[in-house]
Amino acid sequence: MVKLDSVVVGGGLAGLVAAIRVAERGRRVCLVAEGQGMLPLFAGPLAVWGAGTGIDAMAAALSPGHPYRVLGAAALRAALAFFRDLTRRAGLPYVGDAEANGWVPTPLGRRYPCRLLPERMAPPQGPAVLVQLPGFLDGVARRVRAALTGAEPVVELEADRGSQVGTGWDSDRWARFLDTAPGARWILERLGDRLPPGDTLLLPAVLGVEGHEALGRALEAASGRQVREWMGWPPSPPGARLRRALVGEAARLGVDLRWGVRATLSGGPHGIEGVTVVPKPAEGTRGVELRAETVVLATGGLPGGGLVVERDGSLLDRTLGRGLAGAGSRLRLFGETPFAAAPAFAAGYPIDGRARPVDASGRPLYPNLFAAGRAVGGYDGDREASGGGVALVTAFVAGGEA
Amino acid sequence: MSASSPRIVVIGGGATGLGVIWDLALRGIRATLVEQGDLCHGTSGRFHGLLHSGGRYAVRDPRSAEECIRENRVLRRVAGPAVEPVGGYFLALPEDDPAYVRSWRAGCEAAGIPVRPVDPAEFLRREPRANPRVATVFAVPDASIDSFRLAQQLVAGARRLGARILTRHRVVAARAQGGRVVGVEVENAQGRVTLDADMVINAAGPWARRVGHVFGVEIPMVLAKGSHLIFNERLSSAVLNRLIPPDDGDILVPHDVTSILATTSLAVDEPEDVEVTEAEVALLLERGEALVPGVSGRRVLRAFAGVRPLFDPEGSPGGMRDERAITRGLSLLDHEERDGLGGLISIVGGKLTTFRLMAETAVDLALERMGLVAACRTRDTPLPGAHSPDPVPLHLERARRRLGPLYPSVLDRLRADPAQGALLCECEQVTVAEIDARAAGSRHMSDLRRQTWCAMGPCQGTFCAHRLAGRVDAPAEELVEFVTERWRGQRPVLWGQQAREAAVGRSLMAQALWPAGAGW
Ligand SMILES: Cc1cc2nc3c(=O)[nH]c(=O)nc-3n(C[C@H](O)[C@H](O)[C@H](O)COP(=O)(O)OP(=O)(O)OC[C@H]3O[C@@H](n4cnc5c(N)ncnc54)[C@H](O)[C@@H]3O)c2cc1C
Ligand SMILES: Cc1cc2nc3c(=O)[nH]c(=O)nc-3n(C[C@H](O)[C@H](O)[C@H](O)COP(=O)(O)OP(=O)(O)OC[C@H]3O[C@@H](n4cnc5c(N)ncnc54)[C@H](O)[C@@H]3O)c2cc1C
Repeated sequence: MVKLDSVVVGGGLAGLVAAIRVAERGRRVCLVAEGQGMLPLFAGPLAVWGAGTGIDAMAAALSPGHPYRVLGAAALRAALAFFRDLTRRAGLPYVGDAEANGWVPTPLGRRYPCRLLPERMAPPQGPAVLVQLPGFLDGVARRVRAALTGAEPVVELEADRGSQVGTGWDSDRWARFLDTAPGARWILERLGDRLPPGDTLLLPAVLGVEGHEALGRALEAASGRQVREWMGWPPSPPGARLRRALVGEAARLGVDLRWGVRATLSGGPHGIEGVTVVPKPAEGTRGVELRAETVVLATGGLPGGGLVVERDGSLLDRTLGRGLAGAGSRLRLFGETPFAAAPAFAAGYPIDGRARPVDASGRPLYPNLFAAGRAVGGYDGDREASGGGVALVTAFVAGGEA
Repeated sequence: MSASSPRIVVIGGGATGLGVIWDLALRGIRATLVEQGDLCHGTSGRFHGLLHSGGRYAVRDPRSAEECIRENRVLRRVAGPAVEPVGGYFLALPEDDPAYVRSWRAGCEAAGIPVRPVDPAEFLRREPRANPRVATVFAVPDASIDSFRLAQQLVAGARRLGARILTRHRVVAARAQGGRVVGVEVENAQGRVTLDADMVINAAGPWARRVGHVFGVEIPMVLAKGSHLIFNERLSSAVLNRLIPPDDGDILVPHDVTSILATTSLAVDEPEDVEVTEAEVALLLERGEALVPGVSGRRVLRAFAGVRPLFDPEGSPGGMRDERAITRGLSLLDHEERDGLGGLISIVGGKLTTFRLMAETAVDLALERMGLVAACRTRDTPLPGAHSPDPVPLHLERARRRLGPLYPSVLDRLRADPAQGALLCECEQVTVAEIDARAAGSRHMSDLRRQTWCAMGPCQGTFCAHRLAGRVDAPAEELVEFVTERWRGQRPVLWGQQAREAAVGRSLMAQALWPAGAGW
């Protein structure tokens, strides 16, 4: 049996931020995670509240169960400031205004509203020139520019004859190529000079993962312009960069990171008493027992795999072995159209002001259990454009308590 | 067109209507077909995908059984890659009625369906996932058939011979003079147009009754909805049928890389009633267990339903009756004789398997009524793309099956530009070259989906719908409509892994399509 101060279950945005926060408080913390969560699919910018309102006005107008309302405006502000510091330290500074939205162009030519963005994705300054990579289907420059004035020039890069470059690569394949020396040379040669006039060079978000910083600067030097990226489609290099930065920071702070393991929690009258961890696939293997004073549940809800929709339409939290309020039937769980408000998309634990999951009468399920990210319910991150902000504030509060 | 050449209008772009226009074209008559939506937008795009051997109807519906086996043989010959000759089995479990097995064998013999007894152990070696409790097995010449592919072949063939095919044109009114139809009025996005006609052939499937009303005639029909589940893998290599009186969920058809389990049967009021209920999903999975034990734990990609256009001369209009007792045989209605209205013929009922025979029957009557003579040639004329002379590497075989006559032009594109080889849809292996070649015809996302199978694989469009929209520059509203249509089929089967994937897909689309999001 291993004794710890705290265990965080889940290694997505919420789990990593919560673990970092616990470790910063000088506590011995172990993070256990089955997979990488949504970060490899994470587009990059941090969406806090799609409607443009400031934090106070927003929190005041929300329904009582919404996590922003429960945790309060001050906690959200503190969490965003914490994230800025954290990302600066980790070498991937997020910039922007907590009180008002910036935006990033989407592959379909829309503006996605977000309050904090990686520097490389901040809105372009001055006239822009867009770059179309050969064979790249997850962002058509001519379409993306609809998010700008629509009249920006597009530089079409050609595929090399006789090489593999640009034969239908996705963002991840491009990023891995551009992380290599020949890859960097390839793009620097093509975007060095003879570009149409413009202040900003706008590319899909594929400028490397490991070497993204150096490559971005080299491209700015070679082209004599500011370099910006637009939002892509998974697998998403900006998500991979954020994951790399957070994992690095967690390791530096001494978080014991265990990937590829599935956890189950056992509760008793005094709270969560143990965390059983088994390598996945789990069938038949005997687990390791962890003991900790506190546990953070950051298991990702429906998309993250923490919550499972059963065939009868009920919802099961696999980690706690607990059923959650469903909608009575599967069809009612989901809406008639994909984007309609529906119970499935706001499913998760209601929490109290200390980020503890509560039962129907508002009492904590366990005094030492906290929840963060999509494991928390009561909000629809897609319709609100609030997923990143909720993940952050819940992780910040849970990590401050656990 | 000269005043003396006959003017024929065909209503309906399902298998039957397309079969009619192809049949007319081969007889030298350049007709016009109007379809209110896309080709195969009705029942022909929402069916089980089985080219029947006729075995299913051998006991209760001998006429249909006989039509099926005859046409099964013809289509294997002329339809080429739209048919995959997977073969089929009928299996009886120990608890199934042996008396039914005997009458089934007699029925097959009478209809001319070749039936071969198979040793159950041998059967289980070939179909390891099938029910090991199987007691009796027979092999029959079932096959699977891709109606989207078939439709494209029919269109290509008919157009080459001068036929006119108008999609998104709906017949809304009739013109008649002195007891004869002289034309139809059709509505499209631009407005109304009139098409003169000496003869109108109503092949509107489950809408045939409504079309009849446009002409003031009553066509008694029973509309029966049937639902299907699509699995993300091929659970059997041949069609598996239960050897019992036709019932719910008793046939599993391998279809390309997926399998389709079906069907149910519920009376509905309108052809548009194609929602799949939870009870139907549960019923299909429960019944499917008898064919493939454990099937309900397998991954279901989506559910969809179609509406059977059954002609029921004994029923009151729209009346209800045990629909499984109504014949699947074709019904030809001569409205001149029935209703005193010349120049109108309706062809309803039947199966997709028998579409060619339906077309032949309808055209024979139309020509007779118009005093023309020309022999039917569809029985022996291969459809375009039915035979490709040169063998191709295996990885292009799928594209060739799908592309038919377009295949050479797609190969040319691939040779000319390596970027054209990029896979726009990974699940179905659809290249940019294929989309570009198709988009020269129609740029509608839903047309391209039906033509290429793009967005119909395991990811259900999560990773390719936006690419398709980007490639053909479809407006955001069209993409929303497209993912909403994909959603309709997924919603009834959202549990486990599939529910999780749907949630991820929703997040991605909501981001990329913002701000459509705020007030969805
Ligand atoms: C596809 C997608 C893209 C998004 N992109 C953005 C974006 O660009 N910007 C933005 O602001 N928001 C975005 N969001 C919204 C929001 O940021 C995410 O929902 C949020 O990051 C989720 O973080 P999480 O840590 O709660 O869950 P996840 O990232 O899903 O992490 C869950 C973790 O728990 C683990 N886990 C689950 N059960 C167990 C168990 N029993 N034992 C051990 N481990 C377990 C999983 O393996 C995983 O590591 C996106 C959401 C989705 C679905
Ligand atoms: C659940 C189910 C499973 C089936 N499985 C099989 C099977 O495995 N094998 C088999 O052989 N058969 C099967 N069938 C039967 C087969 O699918 C149908 O018999 C066949 O598809 C009917 O084709 P159709 O062209 O007559 O009708 P449809 O395909 O419905 O075509 C009619 C067309 O007319 C158009 N239309 C309607 N009104 C108008 C108007 N006013 N103006 C212009 N156009 C109009 C419609 O849009 C539609 O596209 C199945 C049927 C169902 C319901």
